[in-house]
Amino acid sequence: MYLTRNEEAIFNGEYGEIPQKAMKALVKVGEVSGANKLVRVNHVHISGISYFNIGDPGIEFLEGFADAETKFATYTTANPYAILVPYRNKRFSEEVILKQSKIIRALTRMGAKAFTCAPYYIRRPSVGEHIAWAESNAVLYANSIIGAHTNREGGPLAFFEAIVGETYFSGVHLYDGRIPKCYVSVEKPANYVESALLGYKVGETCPDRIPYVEGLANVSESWLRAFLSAFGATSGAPMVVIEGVTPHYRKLFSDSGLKSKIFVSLSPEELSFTKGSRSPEDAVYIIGCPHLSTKEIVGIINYVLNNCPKRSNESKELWLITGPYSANAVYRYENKLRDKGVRLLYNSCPVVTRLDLLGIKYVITDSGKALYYLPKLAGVRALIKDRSVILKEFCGGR
Amino acid sequence: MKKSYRVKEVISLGTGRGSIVCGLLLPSAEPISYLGDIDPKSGVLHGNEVLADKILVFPNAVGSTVGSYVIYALRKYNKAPKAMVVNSEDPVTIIASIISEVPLYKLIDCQARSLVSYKGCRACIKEGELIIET
Repeated sequence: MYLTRNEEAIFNGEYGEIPQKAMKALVKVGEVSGANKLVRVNHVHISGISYFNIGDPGIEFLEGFADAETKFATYTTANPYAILVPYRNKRFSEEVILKQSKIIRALTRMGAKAFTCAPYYIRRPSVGEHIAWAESNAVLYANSIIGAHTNREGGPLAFFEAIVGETYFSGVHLYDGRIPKCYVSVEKPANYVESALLGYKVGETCPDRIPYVEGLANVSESWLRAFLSAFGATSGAPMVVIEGVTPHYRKLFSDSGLKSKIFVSLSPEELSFTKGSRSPEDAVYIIGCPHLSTKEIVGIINYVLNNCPKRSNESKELWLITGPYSANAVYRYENKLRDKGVRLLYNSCPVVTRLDLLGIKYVITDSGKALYYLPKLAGVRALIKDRSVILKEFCGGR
Repeated sequence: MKKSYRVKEVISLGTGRGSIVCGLLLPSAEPISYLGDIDPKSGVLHGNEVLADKILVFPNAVGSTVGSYVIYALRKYNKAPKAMVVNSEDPVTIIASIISEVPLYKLIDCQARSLVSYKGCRACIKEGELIIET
């Protein structure tokens, strides 16, 4: 791999042990990925933030770097952390709360600007910009909707990229790496949850290749996010070329030479279980995976304030989850919403939280991604329903 | 009797030329998902294989990228293997090797699964060779 003089100096330890370690990691991964050089990035997004995922050794790792006065060399954001609020009469131990805050503090000291899985609402990259993001839904959004360039990075690797301020130049950073290899046609989804389920199925159809997808041209941004985040749960591809949406989609398609398409649709059973299934009495309703945009959360709050009755403390709860970018627009409704059993949660994520330790057994969500990961990571069972069905059901409309 | 296989050094961690890594061989025929397959506190793979001081041979890693932290945790709990030897190196394993200071090697002309019968044999890695005392 070609290294500039400055990169070589970092590699040889002239700037100290920590940048050397980070550079070494980057160069090795680059070599394996067939990169011939490194490229400057304007935004790094780190994953692996929840105490439940990285544990005590993860804290030690991050604090070790922070204590050595490590500073990120480029604009850096990070994934959300565990939800630490109490549920009914249960709360996490002081130890868990303290340890999660240690992780947050270490990353903030090094320069992390925000904790959210939607870094594109914090700093929107431009078309063709090189960035290095972990967190699959963000990677898919950046490549497929914005037309920025990022590989699907892992947590500690993105951390090293933040220290160096560069990434390895391969994969979707190159034009050739963005050419689709799998041709899929879908029927236009009718709502949010159908978009999510289609994403899930297209991911299964193209588990390791970038698909070209037709049928989503006039779908809202919100539904595209539902599609992409669910796609990321079942496919490792960092990008979906969406007809009518992805910058340069025409050229990418014609350069692919793809001819035969695979039709992906939802079966009648799949369509019905998003509406019909009965919700368990003790379920928690969660909307906000990926984090709600300000527009989405304001719309939901308006609906709830106009349609939901007041509740006693012990009845159903709806959690709305968003990033720091929505706080100004919504925090003033917190008390009113609390009376209706609705909780606003910021910068945190149910999927990386051991919800079972709070006594939660079931979650009802509109997210295909959450449906996939909640049972694996959060220790709860999950049901998927459309956003409008969840709101109606929660407010007692049926 | 000694069997020898060519290996390429991927991450040496400053052990330098002429260095030798030795331990008992722990081969796995299947890829390893660090998050899930390894319990870092007990230092055990697949519920019954002790990793500490072994030379761990496997085809490649699969699963979550948080997996790098699992190998790092093994180091912190003093349960880390002496070395990892793979058929194909992936970003998660490379990062795991660097942050955990477990040297990483790549098998050049043999599949990890073909070494399964040498489980528990004493083995050393030196000068580009994995030497197994059978």
